[in-house]
Amino acid sequence: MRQDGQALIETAVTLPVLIALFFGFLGAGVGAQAYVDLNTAVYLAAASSVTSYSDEMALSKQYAQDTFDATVRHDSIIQRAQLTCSNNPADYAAGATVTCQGSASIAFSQTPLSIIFGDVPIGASASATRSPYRSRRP
Amino acid sequence: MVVAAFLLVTFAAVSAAFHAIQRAMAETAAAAGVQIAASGSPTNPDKPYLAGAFQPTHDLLQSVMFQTRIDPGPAAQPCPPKDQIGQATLVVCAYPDGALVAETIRGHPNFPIPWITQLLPWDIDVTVEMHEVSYQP
Repeated sequence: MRQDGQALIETAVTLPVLIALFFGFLGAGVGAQAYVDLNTAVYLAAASSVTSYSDEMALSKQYAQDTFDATVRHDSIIQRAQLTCSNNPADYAAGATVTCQGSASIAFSQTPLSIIFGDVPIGASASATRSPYRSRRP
Repeated sequence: MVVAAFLLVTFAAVSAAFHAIQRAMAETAAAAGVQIAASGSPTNPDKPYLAGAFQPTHDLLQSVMFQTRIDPGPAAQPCPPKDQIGQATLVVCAYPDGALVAETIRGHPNFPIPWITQLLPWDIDVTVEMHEVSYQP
């Protein structure tokens, strides 16, 4: 009888911890997935930006934005994604480096994990260097 | 009961971690492939090199896709839906999307413990896109 009671108390103490661990692992997995996705989108946006003509800030930014938007729209766990690339025209010259920063929220509210986690803001940054031989628009 | 719950949590953690590694590598491999696909093709520098996306993607994927077949998808078309892709198979597809080029990796990777894939939906469905590269003078 006493042993049954002891087992019951041990279970009552241990089970909530194990359940919290279970959901914690799932949440960490979803969070890591969202971060990798955002990081990839920002990296591709920066890489895309430096493939446009040199000294074309608006066109370079458009390339980056198109790439970023098209990549994050495939990912339902990322919401309110925004991209900002440098505003210095000198960064868009041949041989110069462009830096882009992305931000978003991990939308736990769209998943069963919403009972534990709220939406979590994340950010990522990436740089890319334009070829020193990249030509201007003809 | 506590032992069973502990084993379940441990198992969930290990399998979730393995899936996270596989999916992260799929994202990285797709990003590597789409950069090749968005570049100019060897025969015409103004056209994307869609066929070039598969090999770098395959080479990156195979390191973590345990006994999983990695096949090229239909040329210049989106991948088939997941239910048309067999178990332990991933399909890699590169296709044009307006002024952008998209690459999708979709399918059901194998797991070190074979019967896990019948219990848990550890599918992979990753798509990345990149603006076409222009090589005009």
